[in-house]
Amino acid sequence: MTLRIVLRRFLFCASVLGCLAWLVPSQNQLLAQDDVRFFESKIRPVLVKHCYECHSTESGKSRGGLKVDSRDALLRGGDSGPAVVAKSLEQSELYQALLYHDDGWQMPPKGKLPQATIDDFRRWILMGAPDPRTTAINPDVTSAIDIESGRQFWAYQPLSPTSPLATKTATEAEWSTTAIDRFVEGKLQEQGLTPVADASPEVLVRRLYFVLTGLPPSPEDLQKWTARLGVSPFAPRKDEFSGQSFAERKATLAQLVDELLASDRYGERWGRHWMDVARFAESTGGDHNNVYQHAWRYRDYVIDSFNADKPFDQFIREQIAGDLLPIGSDQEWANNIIATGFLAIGVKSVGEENQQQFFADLVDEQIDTTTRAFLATTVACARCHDHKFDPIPQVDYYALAGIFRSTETHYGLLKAQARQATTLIDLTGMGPAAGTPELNSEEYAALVKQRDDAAQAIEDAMKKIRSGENVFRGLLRKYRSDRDETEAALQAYSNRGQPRVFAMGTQDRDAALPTRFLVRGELDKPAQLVERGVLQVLSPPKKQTLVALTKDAGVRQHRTPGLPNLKHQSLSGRLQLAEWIASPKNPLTARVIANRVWHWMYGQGLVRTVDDFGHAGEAPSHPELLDYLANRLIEENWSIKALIREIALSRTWQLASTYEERNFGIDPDNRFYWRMEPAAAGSRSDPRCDTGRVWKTRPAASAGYLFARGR
Amino acid sequence: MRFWTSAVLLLAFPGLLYADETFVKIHRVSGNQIAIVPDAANGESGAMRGGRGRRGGAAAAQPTILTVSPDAKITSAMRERRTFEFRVGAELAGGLKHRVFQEMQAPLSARIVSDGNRITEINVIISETDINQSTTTASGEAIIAVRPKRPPTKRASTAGKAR
Repeated sequence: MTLRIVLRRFLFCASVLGCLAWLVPSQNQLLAQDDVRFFESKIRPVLVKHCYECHSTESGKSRGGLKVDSRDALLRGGDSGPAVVAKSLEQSELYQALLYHDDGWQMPPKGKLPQATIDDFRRWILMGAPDPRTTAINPDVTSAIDIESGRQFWAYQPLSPTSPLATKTATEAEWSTTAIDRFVEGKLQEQGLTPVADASPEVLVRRLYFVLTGLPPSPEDLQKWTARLGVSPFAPRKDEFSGQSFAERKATLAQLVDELLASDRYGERWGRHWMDVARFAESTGGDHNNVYQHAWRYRDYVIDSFNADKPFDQFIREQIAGDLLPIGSDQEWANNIIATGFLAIGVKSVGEENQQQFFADLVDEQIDTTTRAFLATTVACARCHDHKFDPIPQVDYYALAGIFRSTETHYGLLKAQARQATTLIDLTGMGPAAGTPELNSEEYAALVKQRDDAAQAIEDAMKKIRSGENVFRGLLRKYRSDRDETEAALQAYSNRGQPRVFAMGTQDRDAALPTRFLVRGELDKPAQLVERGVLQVLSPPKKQTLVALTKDAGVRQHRTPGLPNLKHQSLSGRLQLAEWIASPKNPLTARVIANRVWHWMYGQGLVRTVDDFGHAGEAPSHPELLDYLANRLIEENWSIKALIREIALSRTWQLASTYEERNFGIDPDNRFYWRMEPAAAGSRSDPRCDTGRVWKTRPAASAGYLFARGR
Repeated sequence: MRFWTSAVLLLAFPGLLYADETFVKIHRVSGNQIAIVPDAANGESGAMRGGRGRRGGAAAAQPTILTVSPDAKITSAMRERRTFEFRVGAELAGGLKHRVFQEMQAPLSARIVSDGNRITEINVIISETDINQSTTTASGEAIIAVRPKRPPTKRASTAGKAR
């Protein structure tokens, strides 16, 4: 072959490729342009004019779950199925609705469209429903929020080392007996208020029992403690306590407080407070309200944690990132995983068809709960827009979302029960006790037979279908559901009938999921990728990302004990998030829990909006006292019991709840604590006690579930 | 003749890049590149409605290599059991590094969504999955719980000691 021939062939190939390179796009674009032109001229204007009002993002409405302003939404359709199925007029609900049949949907509701328009839709669907409205990446979105000036708000300021106004030594002649009293007294004097008399011993004993254990004292205990406090419960009431010195009374009270704090009832009472914060419930709520059969493990974890006086910073770390904490034993590992049930419980719309929408809602619920519970901040408001009141740009929401998106949430359920079901976490052999009794061989065999019967029923039905017989679809669904449920019931036991141990909780994914900023929170309006991180307003400037946080000396100083090294990180970022929240440097965490403790003891918080420390919440009535309590909590190694003890032994908490006209005229809401809140005074009886049927032992599993099963 | 044969062959596959939505079979994944052939049976919505056994037609085609940009969204997908409606599922963590691609034994059916000549989304049909990408159907190999991933063992390190 000569060089000339080679060159000729090369030139031929090059020219062909050159022509093709020019032809391919132009030809395809030409074809696409025809379709696009048809859609833009005939279809889109009709959709905009007649449908967008009730079915578009712009109008904020999606009647019947249908939107028609994007191709994906149109194909996905609404509650009654896909709105458009390419090349199928029968299956395109949109077209059928336009036809105005008497026995079906009729759209638009204002009147039938002209026949020519309907014919356009017919042609468009038969063409394959070309629609250029694909999901495009939106331009980067920036925020106008000034973070730096936002940091000046009281709640975002570092804790200040406060001390009471009066520093003189407490004597019997003075009203104040503790530092808390001196803070309160200072405010009372400012407002021209005088505290009412102390509560009588009988009232005080009952109050302590109710507040610390949720139960009234037995008559014997009431008599014993009242007598020790110097006044018989049967003696005439005295407004002024005069039987003992304050020091003696304080010592006796301290003994009673310690006894109650050591009681198992304390954890049950205070655990219940926390479970309210953690939105604990044993079902999904939402549309289906499926039962969480294993939520009780988290309930028990909370009760045990309060009883053991687990340091609150550790309590935070375990609930957000328990599965990632270093462990010393399998039992510890299992308990830590159970703690992450905090993220797995909660309301879920498990009937949601769109998996990505469901996942976005799940993450939103986790962000909302985590930030409100620990930081009293409503970050979830920033899912769709910058926060309207607080310095939280929308990008901060998606920085947190990136952390939770990279987390697997295991809450259980079966596909037979709910569209959005997940696996549980298997803790068999790791220490925790099973919640259900063992099966004997007959019971186990019966369960196997049930499963096999259900599988056989499906097989029989399928044989009939294959042979041309008609089988009712609902029946087939029931068979499948029976098979799935019996199979799952069987899997809850080993083949010797021993129950396996399951729990709800979280795990890190194998890889982080990239997270995009979503304009108006809409899944089909993605913008820039967002780096995982925490709230800017609570972080050192430019150090809100996970990478920057872990390099910050202040954060490294307070890392979890027992980590392999200071550089150790979790893949999702949950460990870093938990450490950031639990850090004593975080200005909100200690304040928020100290305020909650005060609220649970007094009936109203120093900041009355206990879940919102932002601009839309209230300012603290006693900011110095709040900081004092937060500092004390940290000093006492985050001990909730120590904080309760300190508050319970203050004279402020021991005041009577009597009405005083002059004080009431000045401060009707009792914002400055001139008396005990009547609601928290322990004068009400517990309905459980009235019935005489108080359960004094904790149910071994989910009480409701076992009751429903007749066990 | 040779010109027109070449033209037809070459036109067939680059054409994918200009379609909005294309059903393909992914034969191989290597780094950020995928080897695909068009899946004619899946390509038309409703083609599956007639039941199983209509797939095929693409076996003879040679795979085309496409490059996937790192910000493309990779999700699971499924055909609704009764109506065969195509449903997009959860995002696959790790994208093309997800075990679905790394451990693939047979070609995977998928839908490729593109914008111009850029792939924006790949929806790959895998067996029913939940948001954690674990099989939760109880048919055959039911999985109702997974074993946890082991965290590090406690060390007497300096971490967290400075309070």
